[in-house]
Amino acid sequence: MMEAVEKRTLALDGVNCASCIFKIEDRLRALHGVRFVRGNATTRRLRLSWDPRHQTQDTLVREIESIGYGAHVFEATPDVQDEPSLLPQLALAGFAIMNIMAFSISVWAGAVTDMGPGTMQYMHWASGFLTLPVVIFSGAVFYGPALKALSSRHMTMDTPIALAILVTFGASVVETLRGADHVYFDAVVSLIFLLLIGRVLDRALRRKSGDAAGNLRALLAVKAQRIDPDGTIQSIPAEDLSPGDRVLLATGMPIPADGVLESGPVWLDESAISGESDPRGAVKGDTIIAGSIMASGTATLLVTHVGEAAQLGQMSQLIEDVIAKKGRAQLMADRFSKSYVPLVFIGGLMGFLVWFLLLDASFGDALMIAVAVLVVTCPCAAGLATPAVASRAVNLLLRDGIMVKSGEALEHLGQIDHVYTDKTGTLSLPILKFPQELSALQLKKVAALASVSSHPLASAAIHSSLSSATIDAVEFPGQGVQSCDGARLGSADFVGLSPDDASLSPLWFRDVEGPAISFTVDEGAKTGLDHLISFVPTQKLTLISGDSKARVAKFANTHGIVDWLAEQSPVAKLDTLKGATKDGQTVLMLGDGINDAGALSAATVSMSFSEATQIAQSSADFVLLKPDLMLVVSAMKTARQARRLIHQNLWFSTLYNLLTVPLALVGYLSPMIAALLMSSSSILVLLNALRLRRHKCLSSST
Amino acid sequence: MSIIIYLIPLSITLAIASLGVFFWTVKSRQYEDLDGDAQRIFYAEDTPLKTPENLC
Repeated sequence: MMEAVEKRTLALDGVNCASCIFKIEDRLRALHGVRFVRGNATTRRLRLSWDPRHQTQDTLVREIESIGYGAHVFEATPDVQDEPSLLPQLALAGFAIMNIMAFSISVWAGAVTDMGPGTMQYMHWASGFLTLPVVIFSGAVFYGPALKALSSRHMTMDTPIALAILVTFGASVVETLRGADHVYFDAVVSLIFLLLIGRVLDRALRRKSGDAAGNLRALLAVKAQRIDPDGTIQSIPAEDLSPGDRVLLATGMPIPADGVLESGPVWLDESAISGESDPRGAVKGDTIIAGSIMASGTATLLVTHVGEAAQLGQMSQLIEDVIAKKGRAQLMADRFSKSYVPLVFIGGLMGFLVWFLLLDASFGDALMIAVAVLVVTCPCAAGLATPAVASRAVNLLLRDGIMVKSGEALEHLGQIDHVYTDKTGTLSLPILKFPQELSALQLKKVAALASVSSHPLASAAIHSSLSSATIDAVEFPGQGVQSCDGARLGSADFVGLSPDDASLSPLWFRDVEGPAISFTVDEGAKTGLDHLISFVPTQKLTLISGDSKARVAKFANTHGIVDWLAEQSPVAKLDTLKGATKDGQTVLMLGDGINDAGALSAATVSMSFSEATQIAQSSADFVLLKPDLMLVVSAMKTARQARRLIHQNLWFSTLYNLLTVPLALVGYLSPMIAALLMSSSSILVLLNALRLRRHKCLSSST
Repeated sequence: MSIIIYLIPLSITLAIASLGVFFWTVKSRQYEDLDGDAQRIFYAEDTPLKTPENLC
């Protein structure tokens, strides 16, 4: 009897090592009805299948959450195509090259000793037999893209490679049939093998960054609690909402769509949208926009705009426009191949024509010269130059907690001319200063009162104290907290002061007797800020914040930032960044809010934090998994070194070609020696990539 | 030397067999999680060895 089985892939959150994955596996495996569990520590995903009669997706996700991890359904999106692995192609080429080399060395040694022509022919046929599947199966990786490029009338790195493979193979077959002494099957296969190493590395790199981006999307999907007409509450993805729906909002939840408040009052944390760090109060009938977070209170929201029509949707539209217009800067490797590829062809053709027409060489000899040129100029080393370094860099960065979403951004990060950064949430954190006049007993009371509310100021108050006392208290949403004995913690109005005092401080405390005491809310620096500021030259760092002039100025002065812009709207930020990149500068943008999203996508390279808003994370090229600005410095250092190594590799491969092409043209290099030279240059490039080191120095150690 | 007429095809056949095994390992997803699999052995439950005493 066939059992009903449900299958899902989950993206896991909060797993830092393989053992976390095994813990989750063990937990789920013990459950009744779970058929199959297999986690992947590399992609941080979990494949699951279960019997729907005993378990549901929700119960399983809750089970994972109960041991402290997060899980979200992962759906493969069309832009992250699952490219097949190239390992079989590489293995076939590797297998063939090892066997063919054995024959070739025998032939080359035998040619000067006593190998009979019959044995030599036999070796050639054996080599040809092994080469054919490699040319058909492994070589296909290059023909497809080469043909595609040809049909749109341009050349890529694949064009000379495909030509070299086919011409050399064809020539070798002809030579074998003629019974000639030298055939070049070894050159064909080593060409394919070495180039495939580069492709495998390149694909692994793209897959890794694609995986990271895909997981992020799954983790960030916003859920909405829809209240159906019959009163039941259903958890649905935010994009499935439609205008007219009613949504339940609770403290800490992101607002899923634009709408009108049907109850209140509540406090909204709109720092992600406006950059304003103080929460805003909202009452029944107020319009609120998606992307802000419920700081405190519970309410129902009548949805008015969703998707593209919502303000947040409009922002994403803005970003897409920017990306479409920007036109990514050309990469080093692309530039290199564009100018280089035609030279390869001209060189090969010239060699053939000069020898065949002017120097009266035979057709076969002239062809072999052309083949030697094609092989020796094969851009293997150049093709490996970037992926070898980049894939190592991405792995090193991931180990430090830096997620790279595009390999391209890594190249740009190595040559940043100017750094723009947001303030609230990116460089700063709110820190509450306890007034000196509070007694120890009162401090305890404040902490206990604060623990009743989930207002951001209250959480700051709890953070800043160590007490864990409890108290009987009532919260007046949007105003403050009052204990049974009458002590109050809250706004100026709430502790009985005039509205004029409200401007002095957002948080006050009044004990049963005695005057009201004000708290000062200060902006503290995020970990590692000093390192970042000392690493980036002062004139190359600009603070652009949506916050008020006074706050930005104060923060900038405290931390020695000279260049700052305050009260910047999202569009102003975007324009600043657009202007900066227009001058041809390579610009890095750091940000965490919705108001930064436009600027993040306009910058050449952008970074965000894993606790930042969804839209900021999806616009950023790098996501820092820990709230430590030191990571920005280590990423920049690693990228700089990576860039230097890529440069060295490209220079080296150019130099190698400059030296070997003339030798091949005058006929000193047989295709066999050309293949040998080409292999050693590729290996040197790979070894050079291994010189990339970790630049790890977390700020906690200093 | 005529022995190589048999030996070379024989060695190639053997090599093709091992290549087939490699293809199978790729197909059965053995290279998808190198980090996790390296550590899996440390967390796997041990099953007692079968000795003549506990065989039945």
